[in-house]
Amino acid sequence: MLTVVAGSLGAGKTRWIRDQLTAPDSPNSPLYISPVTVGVDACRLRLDVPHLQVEANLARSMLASGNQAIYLELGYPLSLDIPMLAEVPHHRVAVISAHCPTRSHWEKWADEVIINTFPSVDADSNIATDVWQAGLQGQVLDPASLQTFWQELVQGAYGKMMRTKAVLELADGQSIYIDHLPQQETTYQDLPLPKWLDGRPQRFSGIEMIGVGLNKSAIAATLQDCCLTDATLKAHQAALKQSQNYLSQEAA
Amino acid sequence: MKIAVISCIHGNLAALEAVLADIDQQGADKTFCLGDLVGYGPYPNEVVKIIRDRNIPACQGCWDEDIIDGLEACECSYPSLLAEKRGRIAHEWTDAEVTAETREYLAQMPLALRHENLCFVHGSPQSQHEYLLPETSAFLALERVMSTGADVLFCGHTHVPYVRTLSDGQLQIRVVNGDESASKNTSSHTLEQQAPEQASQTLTTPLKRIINAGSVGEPRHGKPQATYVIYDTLSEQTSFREVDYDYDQTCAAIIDKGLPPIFSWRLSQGLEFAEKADDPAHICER
Repeated sequence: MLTVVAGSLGAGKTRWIRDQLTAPDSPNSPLYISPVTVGVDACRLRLDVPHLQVEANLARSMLASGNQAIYLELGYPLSLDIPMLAEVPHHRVAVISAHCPTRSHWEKWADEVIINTFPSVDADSNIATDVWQAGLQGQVLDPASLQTFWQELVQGAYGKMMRTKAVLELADGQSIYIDHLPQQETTYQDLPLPKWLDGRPQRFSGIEMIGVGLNKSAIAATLQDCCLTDATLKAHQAALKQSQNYLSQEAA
Repeated sequence: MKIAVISCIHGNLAALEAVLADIDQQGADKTFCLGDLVGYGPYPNEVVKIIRDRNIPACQGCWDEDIIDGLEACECSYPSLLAEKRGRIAHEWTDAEVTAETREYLAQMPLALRHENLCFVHGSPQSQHEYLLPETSAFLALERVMSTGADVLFCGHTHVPYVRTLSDGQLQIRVVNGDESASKNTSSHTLEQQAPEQASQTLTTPLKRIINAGSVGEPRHGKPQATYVIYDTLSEQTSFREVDYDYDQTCAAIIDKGLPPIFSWRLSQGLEFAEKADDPAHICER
């Protein structure tokens, strides 16, 4: 069965899918489809549902459906009218916030409407929005630089930010998730992954954002300036290993 | 006597002009400048010319020194890789922009100025690069003021204005003759036999003050307004002045002159361009 999930920015679409996938009667080998994203949500879902299959190519996953439980998350700016879906039986779920101004629109589209209390953002269809995303696998960020960059990003230095989220690797080997919606505090979360202390991390990291008038080249260049060089990363990791060795000797 | 103290102009011509007009309105008898005439901002030569033309006594700031001696700041200058990168771009731009005349002026600036019981420095009497933060230990703060022999020490560099009063100041100095650390490692019996000679001296000082003048050209107090200080030597009253100016003009010039556009945004938000002090325990090693 295919379930198509859409809704306003930050209303909890991915969270709702995760709740379905971790429920006691959850499907055995579910498939999660997240087209046109670098995979921040898929990365987080896989931490809670390790057996989850992830597919970014919408057409290929339609062919492979069969009896498999499939969750298709339609993130902004994907159109809700996907011709391909007309051929496939599916269930439409809209996840919106309680004060969503376009509630009637979602109610008209969806078979089921989930109303959350999280504050969310509705993209104004009359304003041209920008989407920018980047896969960052192997890049490691200096935390103090990231703090400056993030402050600039969410306060509008590179354009009006509507939503941004990222999975990033930090200099101490920790992988973190960051999430921001306007007028809210940024959420930082350490991901339950081992610290990567040996070379460049060979696991997912990436960033996705939606906004208005985004200066994409400046965003990319600044993010690059926050990243550690090979030499700096090596020095950091050597110091961290030495510190770990010292602590284990102390414990012994 | 009413004196005005300005600091950290950083090539921001519009801010300097607005502050000097405000100083004239306030009827200050004399103006002192705590340096950092150049760096980050788009008009280093013009700012130096105004300071020279108005005969404003000015001591050398860390940026003024860096343009003369090269960039050699210790780690306290940059809180992050990103800040360091931006700071270096600004240094290279300024280094290429300043004229020989400006360079000559920056090179001859004194490290400190004195006027009666007042002393004027950029960072601290120790170094133009050292930050005297409001949280700096009272011992260190008092030592720095006492080292000048003045009662009031004016400084800048942090870009955030403050007044710190050090009352009932007392410094205790213990001089140890002999290798104390070696003695500590010996047994108590040996320690008694070989205790080093110690001489102790206590210095008591009347009330001292540190006054930070904030920043004319690159405020870091979360607002874009230029800040400076008016001090009345008779009443010992300090007034912080916050001056509106056309910062959009400076923001536009930053972009026009090829400086990083992010400086323009940060100036408009009252945020530091790159450098920022956040460790009051750090002793600058420059």
